[in-house]
Amino acid sequence: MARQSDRRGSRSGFVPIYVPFLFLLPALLLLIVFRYFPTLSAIYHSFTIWEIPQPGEFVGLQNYRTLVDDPVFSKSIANILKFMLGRTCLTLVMAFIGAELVYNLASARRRAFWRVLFTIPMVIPITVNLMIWQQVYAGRQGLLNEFLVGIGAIARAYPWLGRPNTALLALIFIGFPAIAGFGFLVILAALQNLSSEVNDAALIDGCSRFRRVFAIDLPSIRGPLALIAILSMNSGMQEFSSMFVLTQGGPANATMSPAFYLYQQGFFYGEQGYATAIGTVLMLMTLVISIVILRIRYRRAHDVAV
Amino acid sequence: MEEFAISGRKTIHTNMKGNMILKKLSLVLAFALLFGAFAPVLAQDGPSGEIDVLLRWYYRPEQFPDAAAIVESIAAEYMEMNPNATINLVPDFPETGSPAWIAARMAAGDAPDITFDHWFRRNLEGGNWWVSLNEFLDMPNPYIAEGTLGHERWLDSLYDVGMSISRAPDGHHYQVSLDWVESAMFYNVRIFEEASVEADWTSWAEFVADMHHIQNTLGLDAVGTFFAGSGWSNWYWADSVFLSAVWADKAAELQMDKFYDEEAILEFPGWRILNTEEIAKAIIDGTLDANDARMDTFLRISREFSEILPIDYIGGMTSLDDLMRLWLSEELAVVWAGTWTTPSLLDNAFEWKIMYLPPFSEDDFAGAPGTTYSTGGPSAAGQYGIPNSTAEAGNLELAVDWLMWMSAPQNFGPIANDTAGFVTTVAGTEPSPILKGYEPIVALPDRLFTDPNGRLTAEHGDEWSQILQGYLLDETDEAATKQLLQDSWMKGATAVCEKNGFEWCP
Repeated sequence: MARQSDRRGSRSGFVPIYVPFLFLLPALLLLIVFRYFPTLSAIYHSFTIWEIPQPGEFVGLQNYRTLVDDPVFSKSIANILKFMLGRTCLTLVMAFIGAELVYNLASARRRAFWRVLFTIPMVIPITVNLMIWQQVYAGRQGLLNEFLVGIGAIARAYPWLGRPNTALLALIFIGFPAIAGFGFLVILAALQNLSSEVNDAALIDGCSRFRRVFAIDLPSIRGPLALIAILSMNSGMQEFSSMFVLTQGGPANATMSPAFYLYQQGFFYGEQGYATAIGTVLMLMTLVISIVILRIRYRRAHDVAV
Repeated sequence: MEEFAISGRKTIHTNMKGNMILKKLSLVLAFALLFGAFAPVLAQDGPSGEIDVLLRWYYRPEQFPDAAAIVESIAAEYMEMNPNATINLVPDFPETGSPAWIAARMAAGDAPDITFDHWFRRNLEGGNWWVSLNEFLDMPNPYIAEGTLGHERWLDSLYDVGMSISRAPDGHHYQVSLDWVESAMFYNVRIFEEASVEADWTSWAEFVADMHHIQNTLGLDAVGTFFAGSGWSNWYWADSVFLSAVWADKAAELQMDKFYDEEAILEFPGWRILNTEEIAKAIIDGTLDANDARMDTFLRISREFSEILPIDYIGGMTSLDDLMRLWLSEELAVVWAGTWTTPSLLDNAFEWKIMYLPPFSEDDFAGAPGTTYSTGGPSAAGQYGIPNSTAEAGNLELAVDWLMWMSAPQNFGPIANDTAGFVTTVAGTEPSPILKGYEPIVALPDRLFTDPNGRLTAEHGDEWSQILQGYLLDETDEAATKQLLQDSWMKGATAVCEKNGFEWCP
């Protein structure tokens, strides 16, 4: 009976229930091969001394014990937490400010213009962006130094990437003002989806635009903000490219990140087992942080049913 | 390896000799018939198979089309001689991703059959990834003419100092080192004239004073050297020269008798570059100790040198290209680069000359050697090894034979001299005349210590950099720095012992 019904369904334009799963199968296979298998393999190899191409030799928790006593790894964790928090705050605040400014423009054409203008930089490859910022922070001929010396803010050029007290900060501020990006688009879309009646009613009740931002807009877009925070923290925790292109973890390990340290251990020092242990810890930390943010986002949330 | 015979072709040619024309013709006819009948069998005498060859610098078809054409013709000639062999030349790719690329290929068992890598990185994995070439190096190289070094024993055609440095601590040669890189300081003649500075210093102090003079009078950066957060940077040259100078009086105690090499010490008796085993042993037995007073001098000289460098020599620059840009825009008086830079500067917009670090005299510190040191080494372009996967695939004979063919002087000489970026060290070749200016520098004694990343382990090299950066940026004082350096030395030496298990290890 069921088969007859299926056949009828097909003839009458209905898709058999298994067809969507067939379409999902290639994606699932790719996901298993390129995501889940490497992750599980890395977790397994983190308990081994692994010298490619030989199979790993099981050593239990030895790599993790070494990690605990490794001052460079500890420094890299401290660095990345600072980087992640700084970068996430900067991204969230600046993207929110940018989105609010565009959202409050009266003309739809102007809104579209600014939206496009803030979106275009997203297509610049990360490496190109980093190399541009290398020139911004350069000592002699550096754009920032030329500007600061020009306005008399500093007497002579300063090596922003070459001093432990400024190097990490310099990396956090790459791409400043950090408006142009995915965060801006998501927040702007969320603001544009807010009910105009609520905004109009608030204005009639005497609520200023500034107050509306904090009383209505911010609480209403907690979901998108949490999404941006999670994505930003995820990418922040795994930051590699800025260290790889600009500082190589220096000066004096001031910008060493776990991802860059993992790369060094795995590809330069031949310690693949130890590198996978770093990767596993990094993955767990990212997971925990994401869960914490989601919990915070849903606590007393009124925009979603929990 | 009795089956490894590559002299079949020569036997065929000698059989063609004869006195009488008729006899010759008959023999030729008979030979032609025989050859026709047995051609497939004879062809199989030579190496057969298909190999990928990654030569890096020497095969960059876009950057050096002429050199690439030479390599292609050499490969074509080889394949003509060995019809059952196929040589696939792999074009070069950017250096930055190289270690990750090789590791991935090794993991997949799919690395090119001839692969370039730097000796210190190659030795890190040693026999785990690479075929030991020791027994092949002791064999005759049939492609080298009789009476030329290497004909009887391949190793004799390769520069002994280069091969000695690139030999792994376990005693194996995992690569052939076919050329040499030498460093030099390129200075802008106009800037030196404007500052009334002449490159004829007799002491370190004079040199530093003149460089400060350039900084102060012209407002320019003086010496182009950068210090990377990790990995190689040209600071490593300075580091190795300074360390060699302060430990020069202990050289004899640091060397191990088993590495006494008569040929290598002819010019500088009792003096040569220490290898990893010697450094590790000296650290463990306490001969080499970073808490020694010599290291005070080392740190002082390092700091003095740092003061004549661009302000962002740490952190602000990631490659020599950044320094070259400053030097070419005449905002930097001197850039410390190497042989590979020379060809591109032949038509430079301003006049430049080559100079070098001054000698360290007694005025600089007690016990100074009265000389400076060449920082050349085999970390050049012709460093080739064979992965284990090649042997597993049955292509070892072909890979070794190709290496012998390519490293023969009539082949490698033209390849090296067309790009003229490195000094060919294969016996029977002459370096490019473009590199003649390096002769006084090459004539200097070699360093006692090589670059930090080649001394013990790559990790130790990076650790050494980070500790020194901490000192130069006033994060740590002198005493703490010395202790940190000593800890790093001991950690590196212990790691070398654990990996190699030398008889002297505790």
